Amino acid sequence: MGDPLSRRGFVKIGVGAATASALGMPTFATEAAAAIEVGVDWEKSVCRFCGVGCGLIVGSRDGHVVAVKGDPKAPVNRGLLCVKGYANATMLYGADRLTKPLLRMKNGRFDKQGDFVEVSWERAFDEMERQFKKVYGELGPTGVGVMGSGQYTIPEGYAAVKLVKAGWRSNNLDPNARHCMASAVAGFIQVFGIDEPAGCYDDIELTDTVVTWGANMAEMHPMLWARVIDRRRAAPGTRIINLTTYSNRTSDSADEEIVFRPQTDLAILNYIAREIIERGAVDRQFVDRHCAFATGPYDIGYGMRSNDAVAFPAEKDTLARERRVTLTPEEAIAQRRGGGDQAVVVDQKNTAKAGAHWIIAFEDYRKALKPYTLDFVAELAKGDPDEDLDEFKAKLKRLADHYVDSNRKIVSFWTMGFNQHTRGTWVNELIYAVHLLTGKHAKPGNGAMSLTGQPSACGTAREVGTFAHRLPSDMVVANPAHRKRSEEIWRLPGGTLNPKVGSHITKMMRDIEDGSLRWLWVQVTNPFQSTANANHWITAAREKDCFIVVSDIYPTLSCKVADLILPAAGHFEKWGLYGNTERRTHAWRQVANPIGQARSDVWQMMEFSKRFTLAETWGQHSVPGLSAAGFEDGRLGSVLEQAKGMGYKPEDTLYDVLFATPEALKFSWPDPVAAGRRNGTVEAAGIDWFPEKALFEEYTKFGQGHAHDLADFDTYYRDDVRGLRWPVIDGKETLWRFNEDYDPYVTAGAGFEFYGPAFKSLKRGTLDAPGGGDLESLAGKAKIFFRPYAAPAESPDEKFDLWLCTGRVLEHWHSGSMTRRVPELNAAMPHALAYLHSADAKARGVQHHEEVWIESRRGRVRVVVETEGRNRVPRGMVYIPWFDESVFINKVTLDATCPISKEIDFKKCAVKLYPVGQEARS
Amino acid sequence: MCEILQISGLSVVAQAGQLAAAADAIADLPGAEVFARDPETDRLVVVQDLPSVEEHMEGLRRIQALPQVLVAELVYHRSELDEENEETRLVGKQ
Repeated sequence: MGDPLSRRGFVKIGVGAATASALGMPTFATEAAAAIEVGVDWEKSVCRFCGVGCGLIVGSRDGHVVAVKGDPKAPVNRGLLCVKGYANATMLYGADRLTKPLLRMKNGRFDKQGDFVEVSWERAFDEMERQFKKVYGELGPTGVGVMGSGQYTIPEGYAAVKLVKAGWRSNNLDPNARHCMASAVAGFIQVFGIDEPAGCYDDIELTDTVVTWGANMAEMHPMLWARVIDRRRAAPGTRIINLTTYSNRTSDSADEEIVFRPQTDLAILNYIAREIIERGAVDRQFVDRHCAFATGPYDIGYGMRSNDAVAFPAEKDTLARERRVTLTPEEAIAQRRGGGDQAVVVDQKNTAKAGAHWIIAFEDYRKALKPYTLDFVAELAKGDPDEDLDEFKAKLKRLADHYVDSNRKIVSFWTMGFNQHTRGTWVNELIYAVHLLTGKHAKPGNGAMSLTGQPSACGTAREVGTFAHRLPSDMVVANPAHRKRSEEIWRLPGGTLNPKVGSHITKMMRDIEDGSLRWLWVQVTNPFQSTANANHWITAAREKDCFIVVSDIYPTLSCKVADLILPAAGHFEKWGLYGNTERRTHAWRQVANPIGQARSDVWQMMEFSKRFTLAETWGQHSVPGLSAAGFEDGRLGSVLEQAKGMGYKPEDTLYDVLFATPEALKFSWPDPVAAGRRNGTVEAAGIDWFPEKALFEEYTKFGQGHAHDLADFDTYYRDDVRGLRWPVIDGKETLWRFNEDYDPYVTAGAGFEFYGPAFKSLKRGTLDAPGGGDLESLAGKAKIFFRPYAAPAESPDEKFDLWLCTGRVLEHWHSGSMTRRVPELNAAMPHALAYLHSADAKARGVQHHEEVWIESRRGRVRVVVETEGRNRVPRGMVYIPWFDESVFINKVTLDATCPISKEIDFKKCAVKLYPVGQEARS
Repeated sequence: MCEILQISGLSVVAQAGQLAAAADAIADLPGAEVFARDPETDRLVVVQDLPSVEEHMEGLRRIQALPQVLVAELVYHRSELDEENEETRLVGKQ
């Protein structure tokens, strides 16, 4: 340990001892561990990166973060951190941190073709206001929009919902979480009638089997993966099976790897369901009491544009599949639509009703599964052309054995492989089907769980409801009772909230291109890099008559296409709460001072809201396509008269009515919970109340008594609390929902109760159509869906002969807007690589580490080929991470979505690859 | 040159029966020292003293890549100005 008398030796001994102590190992140097912490101000916090939700202890000096360590009291990560944990501190201090508002100007005036010029916050808001009011006056609430984030803190997301939906009466608010887990949400709602998982991470230590589906956990959720590996060490019979379209680091530690062809996860899950039934392994008691069978239409399109008016010429053949498709022979068999020599052509008749579904009988369900034999599915799904078919069949059979075995507990995890999928909702539904058929769900050690990619995709984007169709706590704008309840909590006149669902994030991009959305505020996200088919959106943003504002901490690609950039406060520079994948709500205090003129997003929204009076926003508006009971078609009525009756004045601002309410002002600042910490929002606003606490406490009203109960704000900041999993009833968290032994919402004696209320009143029908009878109640039941295999929106062909799959790498999280500022992460993975099979490289005359073009119908990028790397793809595929702005792979990807969830499939499109200089662009 | 002292503490779990071999392999790596070991859990505490955070991460990768190692994670990272470096002291006073 070097000279113990030197500072270096002293720190080394102290760090070693503190590490040992954190791991519960005996150490001879407990005094040294304590001594090195003198002079550092430590505070519990939460990692700012992925959805695992690791606990941190952050050390600061003079408002500057100097150290980070894993929180040994955090049950999620138990004192350990992955590399991203270190980026939490370093990311605040990059050399190109945004510190002042920047406006495109020429000759002292805003000019869309101008250069960025530093301006004051006042000048920035002046231009934002001028541009907003021009568009709002011409197009009404549908002409403006906000793109939010699963990285919003809970108070930030809640402030955004209030400002956009209650203030501007627009539903054009949608998060980047749409790209991340919207299919998981739709799956939860369709199957259980309520969002968010039944189980929790404790399942890992209680299970016998972990199956990962399209989830490279070892790289993307390494702290959970460490728990999986620990479990296998502690219980040697534990098996790990990795289903993936390419070999990755998760495969390296798995007991079995199954490489399948893109999109055929649908068929594999139906094969397992078929095996469960044919082997007599259905848990009849569980299914009869707690489940019902359902299906829906197959001809639902791919969420693409329905016309090709603005398409590039090369895109038109793919876009045509949105209207009519010729089924592949396998699809025809899988959907019981022939399978002979004659081509089956299907009109996409149900694109507008993609989520519709009805009850079917068990025998119909069984009949639908008949085609999914081992032989059929193995031929269809084998993903590695070099693998022996019989070996692949044996793997599928062993996989089914694990699900079928009633003595084996099993947990299924998935991430973007399922969710970013043109049938993402279906594949989510199918994994639940497998677990429900065997009664292996909502029980300790048994269950299916979607792992999220962002720190508060669950806690904010989903629960707070920053989606175009949602309101807080699983409520939706289209439901009059939900609007009424929201209007009551928010003290709004009846009829204020707009019943028409807004544009999802990809639709907002299309709206900008069409000219129907002309003012956009991007917060805590980088959508111009992260949305597929980006050539369209970047061109539109720069060339159309629109005004784009981006709030961020670094100059991202989205900042570059913006007209105004606002400098945001970083994670530790503000107060916040996140909600992780397992329903755990956790909190942190501000420990660092915002850099320069950076301001919290809560402050930005509150400050901007002061510029709008009720007279400007709550009057009558035109809303094209609005059609709802109580509303004149195409029109959102004025609520100003009712507002007067409630004591509001037309000249009141949205700040007065939405934020600085009499209730909010009761949460005074300073507050004892602050424990002496600062609050940048309060200081910048010059107020004596506590906005983050006021927003959170108001938000909790939505969930109370509705199975989304949260504790009060102060509880999350207690020294003995490391987050709590909701519903929190009488101070007690809930580990397994829907299970009477753990969930107070389950009716006594029911055993299990899937009490979610959404879509629980359905008609009964056949496999092909709903019947004409009365609605039947499925109260308390989960649905076991039949969904068929369906081919992707675009597959390799003669011209574009490779699959393109995109994703993340451990070092870089999302677009890399923060992690790419951390030098150590950047050096480890400086540029995205194209992972390619050596045989494919050889066939194209490409050498390892040679630069190539990757080209699709939509665009192309230059990238260096890697044939020996950590991701080993089968022949016929190329894998490219998307973090790197200089390898802008979303110029190449396809903006097809799951038609139900509207989440883009970033995992499948067709490309060709050729050496730079060898071939001109076609 | 202004130096920042960079010290990190790692948790390293060895493959079953490989604790001693893992410790020996780690001891041969630059900037890495085994601080403590626990045969019951096959776990080592490793302290890294390397000049930059970048090298710390590369060091962690080297450890993760050792065949004797099952899992390696970071637990504690500390950075501070090296007050015993004369030039650092001068810069710090400016």
